[in-house]
Amino acid sequence: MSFWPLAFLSANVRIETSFEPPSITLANRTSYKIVIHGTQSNPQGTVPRVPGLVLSNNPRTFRSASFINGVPSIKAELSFDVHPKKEGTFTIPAWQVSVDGKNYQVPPSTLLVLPPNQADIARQKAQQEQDRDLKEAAFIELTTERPFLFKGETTAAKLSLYLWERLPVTKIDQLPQKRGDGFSISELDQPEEKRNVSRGNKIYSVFTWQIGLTGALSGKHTLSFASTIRVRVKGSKNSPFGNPFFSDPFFGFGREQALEIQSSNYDFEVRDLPTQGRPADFQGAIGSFSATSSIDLDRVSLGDPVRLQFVIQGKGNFSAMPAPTLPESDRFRSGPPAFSFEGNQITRHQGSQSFEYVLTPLTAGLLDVPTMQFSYFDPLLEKYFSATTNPHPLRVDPGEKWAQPSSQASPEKTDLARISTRDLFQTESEPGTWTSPPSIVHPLQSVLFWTLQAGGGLIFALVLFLKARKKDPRRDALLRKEKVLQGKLSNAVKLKDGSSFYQNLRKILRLRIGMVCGHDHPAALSTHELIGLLQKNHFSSEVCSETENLLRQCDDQEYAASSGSAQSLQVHYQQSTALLKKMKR
Amino acid sequence: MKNLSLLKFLLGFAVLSLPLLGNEADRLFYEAVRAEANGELRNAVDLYLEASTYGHSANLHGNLANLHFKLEKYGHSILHYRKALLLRPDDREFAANLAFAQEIAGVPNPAASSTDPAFSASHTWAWALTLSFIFWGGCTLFALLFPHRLSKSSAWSFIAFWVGLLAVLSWATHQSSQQSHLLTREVIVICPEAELPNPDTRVPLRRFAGDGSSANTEVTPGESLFLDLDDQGAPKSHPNAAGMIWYLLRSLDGKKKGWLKEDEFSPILGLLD
Repeated sequence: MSFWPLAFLSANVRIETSFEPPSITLANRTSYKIVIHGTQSNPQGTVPRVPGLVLSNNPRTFRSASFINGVPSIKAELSFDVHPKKEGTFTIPAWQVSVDGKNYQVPPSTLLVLPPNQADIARQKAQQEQDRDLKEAAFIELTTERPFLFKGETTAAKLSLYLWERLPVTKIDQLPQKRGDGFSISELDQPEEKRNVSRGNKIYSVFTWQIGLTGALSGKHTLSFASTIRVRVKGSKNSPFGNPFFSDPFFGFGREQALEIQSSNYDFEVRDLPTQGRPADFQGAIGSFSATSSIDLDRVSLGDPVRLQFVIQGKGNFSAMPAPTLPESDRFRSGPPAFSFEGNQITRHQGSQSFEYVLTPLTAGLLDVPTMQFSYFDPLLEKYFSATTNPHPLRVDPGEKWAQPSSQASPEKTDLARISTRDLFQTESEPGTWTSPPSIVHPLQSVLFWTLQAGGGLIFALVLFLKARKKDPRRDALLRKEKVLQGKLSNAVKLKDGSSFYQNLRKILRLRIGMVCGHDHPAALSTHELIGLLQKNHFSSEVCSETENLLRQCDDQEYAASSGSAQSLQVHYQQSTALLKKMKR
Repeated sequence: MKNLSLLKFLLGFAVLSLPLLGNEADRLFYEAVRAEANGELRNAVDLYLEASTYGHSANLHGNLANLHFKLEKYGHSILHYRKALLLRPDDREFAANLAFAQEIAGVPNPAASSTDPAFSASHTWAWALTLSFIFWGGCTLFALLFPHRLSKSSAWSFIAFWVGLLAVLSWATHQSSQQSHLLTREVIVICPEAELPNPDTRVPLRRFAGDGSSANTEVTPGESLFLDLDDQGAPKSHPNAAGMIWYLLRSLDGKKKGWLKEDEFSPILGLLD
């Protein structure tokens, strides 16, 4: 019945069980409690089943630790909900529980279940009344013509949803859904709504759907429907059918709650179609029908199409009705028919179904359009019937020129030559779009094609170029550093701070020489070594001498502490800017 | 100043005459439709042909083909159905009529025996553009993804798939291109205008470029033949003393070969114009 994992150690484990309360009436509930002293581990075991008692699967668990007279005490408590099914005395016998790998005996415990008292009986009555009220407040009703159907038969039925006018319905969440095999129903369309419909002592709003009910499996079946509506209830704990729900005119200013509505169970029988007297051409049409046929022309030229329309009218399973087969004839050629149905497109139970065949006469002369037979089963008369159309005479003219069969021609060619060529093809009466003469321009000879190739190539080249230009992170860092130094250099000039100016000037010159000469640690080089590096990298003597001059100025400032005038700072700044421009690779 | 006025006049004339050309073609077309309705089939053919000197349309060639079919000039009928289908390749009615005309004329339907329609001449551009798109798209994608966003194994898989796809597309483009090339060489055998239509007419393929030459074989009007090309890509031809030009042609399978006069066939495309 219940399992729970076990954890860790225990010492002096003692187990107590009890029902709280130990005696209840049949309509009430109690708790089965297991207290395990001396551990807080999860016990493991299975509560034995007792006939007449239903225990909840997941117990509530409590753990506590306390000091009693200075002595520490721990315990674990498990509590199961117990629901009695009958009166009497019930004992849960002793059973084994495992705590920290050791087995312990759980003592037996007894519950006394008394007969229901007056309060219980009153509560049950109230519940029954509420259920009855609910059934009367909203229900679904199915109306059919007969209590049985034939397999494959479609009958018209009405599905009505009754909603008591005082029921605060906000919307219909789910349209009525069929429950039960053996039948199929048509799609539910927009319902017909009627208000102030009196039923019993209540006034209802009724939503009615016309449906087509089709028997699918033979045998006796139960059919029911369920729907969900949304109603407003007062508060979070109020049931919409609790007191004083039905008499409160202001009921409804609260939250919404879904409410499922059930119909009664309807028992239907689906019968098999009789095999006796079934026509050979019967294709499954069940209903009460009449058939007519017509042709659009009674005189045509050879090769011209004639439309034969076959119309079936009445009540029945139009949705499952196949097209009647046109008898094969060597005088006509026909294709598959076009379908059209006039009537309720949802139920397809009553109306007229027309099949239009296009016939092409193959020979000239006075011909009869083939007659068609349509067989169906009438479920009211429980008999098969066949409707046959009248023959339609058709005059087929041979056309203006009749090709005489040639004795020397091959047999295949003779047959073809019999067909007049005068009226075979339709002449277009509009010229359509005027264009240049038909021509084919090969892609390789087209400017457009090569332009597209050039475009593709350019995009590819652009991607390669952008990838190639993607910056080196180390070089980017050096450039950023150089930019910062240039900012400091400019500030030093503005502030006439010679010391800062020459320090930053030396740094920036070293950094740039390192970058252009590919030296990783230019800060470690002396002036002499820096100039040597520039010469080694074939920089002009002018650049070398200007660099040396500026570096000497920096050295002088640092080692001789000679402070340059504001004018000399400006001059050296301009010289350094010009020098840095020259020192680029 | 005088030259400027003349230039203005010529420009104005050119601009105004463009729609007039369309109007003239429309007028001739409608006249041809009326002539056909009155049963003047030959007059209708002449009017359609005159309209075709101003412009071409699928309906014009379709109607011409219908008229030729009614006049039992199946070679001309097949020729104009082919032209109509070139202008409107998806027209099922033209295709059905062409098949019927070929059946009546007793010529094999080359469409039924040729390669898959997916590689037909009308799809050459589609294949070529897909090929170039996949080529440049693959190059660009590879350049964008490699090496940072594409591992070595993924790169090899990508390249293998891409090369495979390019190979398939190249093959399809080549197939379609060959069909396109064939179409530029294709001609339809017709009955010379001077001869009356006769269902049993056969056109001889001569051994030499001359009326007196014996025939290698005969072909049926409506049958497709292909111009033989010389090294420069021009049709192999020979003018005779009377000014008539003879062309060397062969069937698709090469089994029939010989010389035809210029009035005994007509190219589907304007190759000889």
